Amino acid sequence: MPLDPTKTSKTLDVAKTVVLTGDAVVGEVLSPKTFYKDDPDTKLTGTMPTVAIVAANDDYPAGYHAGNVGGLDAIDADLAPANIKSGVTIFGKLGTYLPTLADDIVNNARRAGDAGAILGFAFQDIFVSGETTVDLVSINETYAAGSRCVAHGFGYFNAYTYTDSVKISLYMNGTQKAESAYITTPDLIVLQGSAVLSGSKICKVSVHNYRVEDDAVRLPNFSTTRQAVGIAVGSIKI
Amino acid sequence: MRLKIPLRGTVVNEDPPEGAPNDPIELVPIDLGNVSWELVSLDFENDLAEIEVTPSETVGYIENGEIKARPTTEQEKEGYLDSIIRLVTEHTKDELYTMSNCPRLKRPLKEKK
Repeated sequence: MPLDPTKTSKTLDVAKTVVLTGDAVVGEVLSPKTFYKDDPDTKLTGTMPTVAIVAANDDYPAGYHAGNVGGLDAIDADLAPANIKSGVTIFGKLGTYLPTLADDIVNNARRAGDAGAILGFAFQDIFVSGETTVDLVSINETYAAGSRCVAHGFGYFNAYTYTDSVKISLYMNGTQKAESAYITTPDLIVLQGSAVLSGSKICKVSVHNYRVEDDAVRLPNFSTTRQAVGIAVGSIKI
Repeated sequence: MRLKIPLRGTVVNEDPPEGAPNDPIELVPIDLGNVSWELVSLDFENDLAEIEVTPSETVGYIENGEIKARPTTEQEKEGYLDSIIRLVTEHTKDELYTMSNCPRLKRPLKEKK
C-alpha cells in the first residue's frame, strides 16, 4: 500500500514498528535546536552553547565553534611570524622576531682617595675587623627594564698582616657574584659577574676578613682623589 | 670544579635575583680556602648557590716579617679543591649553617604566600 504523504511519521502504519534509538543528550545538541531521542512523545531542546575564541583572552570555552576559515590569525592579527620569537612555532606560525639590542649603561667608579692621605706614601690601608665585610667602591645606575648587565670589579690589592684572611667580592643588586682567593702580595684582582637589572641598582666591591683577628687590605695610594680599586658596569637593553 | 654552598641573606626578588641592601644574598661565610669562585646559579628552593671554583695561582707566606708569595704547586691546587669537597660532602647543609653561625636564607615574599 502506498504511503500517504499527508500523514506524519507517528500516524503512519509503518510507524508502529519504528523504535527511536537516538543517543544524543541535550548537552550535545546545539541550543535551541530540538530533537527526539528515544521517546516520540518527548521533544528535547539542545543546550550546547555557541561559543567563540576571542582575541581579548586565551579562554578556550566548551561548546559549538562555528570556526573561522581565516584561521587563528584572523581572530587575533597579532598572531603573526613577526611577533613570535625567531625559531619558535606557535600554532604553525614560525616566528621571525629578533630583538634589537641597544646600549644602556656604560660607566665606572673608582674609590675616592682619603683626603688626608699622604701623597707619595706607597699604600693606604683599609682596616677590616675580624669576620666582617667593608665596602670598597660602589656604583648606582638606573637601568632600563630587563637590561642585561655585566660588571667587573678590579683593584690592585696587597695583604696587610696575614696571607689567609681577606678576600675581595663583587656584588650586583644585593647578590654576591664572585670572590677572589686570599690577597697576598700586590696583585691585580679582577672579578666579574652578570645580572638582569631594572631601575636603580647598586653594584659594589667589598672586602671580607675571614679571620677572627682584625686585618686590613692595602691599596696603592695614587692620590687624594683616587685609589686602585674600582668597578665598571656595562649593559644592553632590548 | 662546581660545588653547591648554602646561601644566607634576604631575598627581595627571586627572578631576577635581588638581595636586601643590608642583608645581601651571599654564600655562608665559611672560608673556602685559597680559591676564587664565580656564581653559576642560585637555587632558592634549596637555599644553595652553585659556584665554579678555581684554585689560586699563588700562595702567600710570611718570611722575616715580610709578606711574600710564590706560585701554587699542582699538588697544593688539588689540596685546595679536595679540602672544599670534603667540607661539602662531609657536612650536611644544616651543619654548614651551624659552622658559619649565620641564619638561613630568608624569603619573606615566598613565606607570605
